[in-house]
Amino acid sequence: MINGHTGAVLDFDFNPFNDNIIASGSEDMTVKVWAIPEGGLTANIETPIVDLHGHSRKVTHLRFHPTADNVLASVGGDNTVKLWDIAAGREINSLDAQIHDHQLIQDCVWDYTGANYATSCKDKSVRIVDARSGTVADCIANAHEGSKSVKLTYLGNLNQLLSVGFTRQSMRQFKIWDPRNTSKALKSLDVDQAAGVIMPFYDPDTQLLYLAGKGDGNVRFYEIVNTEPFVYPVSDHRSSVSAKGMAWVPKRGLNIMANETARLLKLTTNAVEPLQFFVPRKSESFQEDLYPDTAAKIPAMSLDEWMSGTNKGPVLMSLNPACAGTHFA
Amino acid sequence: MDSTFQNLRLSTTTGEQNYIKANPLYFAVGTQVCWFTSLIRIFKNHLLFTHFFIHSSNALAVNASQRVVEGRLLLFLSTSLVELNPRHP
Repeated sequence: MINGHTGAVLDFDFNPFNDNIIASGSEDMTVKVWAIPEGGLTANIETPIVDLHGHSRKVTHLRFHPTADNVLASVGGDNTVKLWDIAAGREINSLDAQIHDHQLIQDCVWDYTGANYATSCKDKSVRIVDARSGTVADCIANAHEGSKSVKLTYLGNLNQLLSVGFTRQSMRQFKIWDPRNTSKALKSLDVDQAAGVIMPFYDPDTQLLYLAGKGDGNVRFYEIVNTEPFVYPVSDHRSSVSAKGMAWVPKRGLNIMANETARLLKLTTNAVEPLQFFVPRKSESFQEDLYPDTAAKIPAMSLDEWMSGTNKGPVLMSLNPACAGTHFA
Repeated sequence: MDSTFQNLRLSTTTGEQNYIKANPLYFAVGTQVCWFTSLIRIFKNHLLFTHFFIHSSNALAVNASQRVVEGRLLLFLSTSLVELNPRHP
């Protein structure tokens, strides 16, 4: 196991460009980056490769940049968002706590190119932040009227932002926003009446949105389009076993030749259950229509390129085993 | 295996974080460890991992008075999970 924080680990994130690098944030106010030996852990790791200090309270969320190498965002209980250059072990910039009115930041997500990130906050506002300058580009006040946590995800390259929260009557709901015009949500849909926060996962390749309730066992999924009605319900997975957490497995990790189109790892009180989604086809050949090119394990640019103002989408790769190693910028 | 995961609880303070993350090779689970817990054994063979990896029934029912002193990440090979778990073909 990885064992080096002096407080509880509150969040962690795998490096999208190196499967053997993981960053963790803790109540001990530090961010640590760990190197996993090739082949996995054979002994405890207690010494990080990078130790980042700067937050004055616990570190609650970590998110690696989706396209630039070695850029990590961290959210603190000090209500700041900091960007780090993990290669140099230095802070790039910090979003002042005043921006969030000194209130708890509930989520933080990068957009498709990593030019901006969005935050949700206890003051019920969703803010879109220019990541390089650290300035708020837009603020959606009262994005959801309920007082519980709001979770976010950008919808790939559709240029849409999804927020999941609660109505004033405690109905779970999600809204789709156009970041270029946030005066009104493009779509608002009430999901159900339940207490758990919904964790959203979006597959930009198939444009399917998976909503997993924390504290319940159901996973609903929807097709997202960029014109009315924006959302088509597809189906759901029902289970009486509640989820304590849910992880999205990147498409590179799926069983392509079995037509597996998505995999979630559901953490329960005493187990991890893989929830695998298959398209039932008998063909044993690669199904091109099911697997558009997906994000590769290659950064689209360096930190310096990104800092100079360059915006790039992720490097894509084919999932066809016959095209192994083929990448598309 | 049972004793490996006794007296663990998933890490959180606000309940808002996700406790599990994955990539194509690994998945990690964030846990807290109580002060009286003896050192957790090292996983020498990831293929020992089975469906019930947090096997203690009271994994989440740690007494609130027990002081948490360390946070840890448990790390597993993702492939072993799939290979050993045929419940969701």
